[in-house]
Amino acid sequence: MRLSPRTYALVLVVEVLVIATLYWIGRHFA
Amino acid sequence: MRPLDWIVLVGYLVWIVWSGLRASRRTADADAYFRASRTLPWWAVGLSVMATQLSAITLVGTTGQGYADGIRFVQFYFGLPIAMVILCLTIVPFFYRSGVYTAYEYLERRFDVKTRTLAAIVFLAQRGLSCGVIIAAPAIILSIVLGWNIVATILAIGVPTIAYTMFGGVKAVTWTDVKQMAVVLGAMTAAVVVLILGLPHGVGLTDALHVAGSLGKLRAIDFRFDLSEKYTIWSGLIGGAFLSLSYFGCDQSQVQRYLTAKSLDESRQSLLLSGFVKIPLQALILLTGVLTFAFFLFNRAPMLFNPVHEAEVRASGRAAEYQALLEEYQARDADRRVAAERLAGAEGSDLNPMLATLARAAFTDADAAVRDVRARAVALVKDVSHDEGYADVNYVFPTFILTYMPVGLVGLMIAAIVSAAMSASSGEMNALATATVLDLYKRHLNPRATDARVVLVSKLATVFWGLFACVVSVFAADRGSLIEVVNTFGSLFYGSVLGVFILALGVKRANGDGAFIGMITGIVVVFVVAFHPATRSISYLWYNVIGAVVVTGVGWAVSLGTQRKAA
Repeated sequence: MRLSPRTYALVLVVEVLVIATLYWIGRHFA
Repeated sequence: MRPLDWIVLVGYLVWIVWSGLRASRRTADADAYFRASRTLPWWAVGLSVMATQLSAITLVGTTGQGYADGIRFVQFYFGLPIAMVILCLTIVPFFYRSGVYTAYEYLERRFDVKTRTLAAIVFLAQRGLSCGVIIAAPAIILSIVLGWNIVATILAIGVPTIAYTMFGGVKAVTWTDVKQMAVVLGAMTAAVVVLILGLPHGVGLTDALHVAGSLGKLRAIDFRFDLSEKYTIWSGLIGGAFLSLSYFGCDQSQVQRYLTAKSLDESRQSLLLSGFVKIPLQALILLTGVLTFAFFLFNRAPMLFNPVHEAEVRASGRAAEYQALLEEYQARDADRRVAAERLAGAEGSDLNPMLATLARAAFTDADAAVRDVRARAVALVKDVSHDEGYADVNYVFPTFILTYMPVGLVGLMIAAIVSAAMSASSGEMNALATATVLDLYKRHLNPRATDARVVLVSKLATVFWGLFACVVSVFAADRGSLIEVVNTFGSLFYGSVLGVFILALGVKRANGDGAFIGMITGIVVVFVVAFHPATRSISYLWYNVIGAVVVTGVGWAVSLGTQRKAA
């Protein structure tokens, strides 16, 4: 499989989603 | 531990050594020994990268951190995916295409031999010591909670690791890492299941998380910009990115892993695997710690999890004081259990928000009372034992394992802790031997050494570094505070090593003198920042940024100066 710029963008998008989820967990279970 | 647990643990050790030795076939030439002839698939390399980083300290210390401090430590990893993307686009193609065996070999091609040698020596000093700590930390914990002899525990972890690393080189290390990662993940899943099943009837997982969350344990993100605060989103994103750039880009223990991949793209994929998985994985390990906290709210917990000085305190003149504290603790713990059950019930129903607010206030007070008794007990233990470094956070998870896990699974959990220590230290031993032989022995002592000779010397170097790690472990086991010193010791160098690689790749005019002087200046500045009273409060994650910036700046200036002189 060849890596494209999309793959790198996907890593960063997933990171943002994970951080947002962690933020939501902190607020939801506060 | 019961006989079945022993069977599981010994079975694990035999299996891992046997499979490591099996992987050692066809590793007679240097390329096979150091780079597995570039034949490994990306997923195995990626898991190996993660396994080398996931030590027993991560497993036991991170769950302990989750127990005591919640999940905010996860911010430490926020810079990692960013670093992985940057590395895939910059340093990885350089390393892979240039055909180097060590990261420092590249520095000689770009600069000169003195820069290569200095970087290699810094790596050997820092990693040689940390390899000892990787083995010492779990060995101390296991020897205390299981009553094992400390030297025997260290040897039980160290000797099998030396054996398969020595015979099999990087190939054996990688394939055993994959298996060890599976053992760790399987064991952690089992622990989470037991934790959830151990909650009382009527208290579900979300109720337990609500109760823990009411104390702020699930608050992961801290937006404050405060340099003295250890973990904030900013120190994680910026400091953490610099740390990851240095660790994954310039540290031989990581670089050697992805140089074994079949192609450049497979090398990149192996790093991106960490980029995708690392934050969720660490968050889950921390959440396991929070769940352990919730578990001990509803189940009896010891006053102090580390029993090492208990007999000493009970035999001292302050035994009555300790007994009184223990009785007070049991009463407060029971009060807290009742308050936690009330809060869990109130969180479960939306009928009366006022009731939930009251229950929450009562629980917060009850928890503060428990913490107060525990703090007094810790102070008493420190007073009597004169052990200022006494702490019990790292003993929380092992205590849960030994007290509440079913027979058989205890053996699996201990195997997972041993596994994490072995996979982390095998990668280090392999990289230490590689740097010793290629950057020092073959470069300076015997440039004409044959392939067979290089592999033989590497095997001897692996044994040397393995035994060195065991000796450091035995020495560190006597001095608990030494472990912390060695852990922060690494962060004093990471930024400066990264700075040299930034100069190599990003500053066209940089030369050997600039890189060499820049690196020494960077290390000195970081040491001053770390130990000067005025700057000591700066969180260690920022050292990586400071070191990299100083080396790049000084290296660039010196390079310009020396070029003008030459002209």
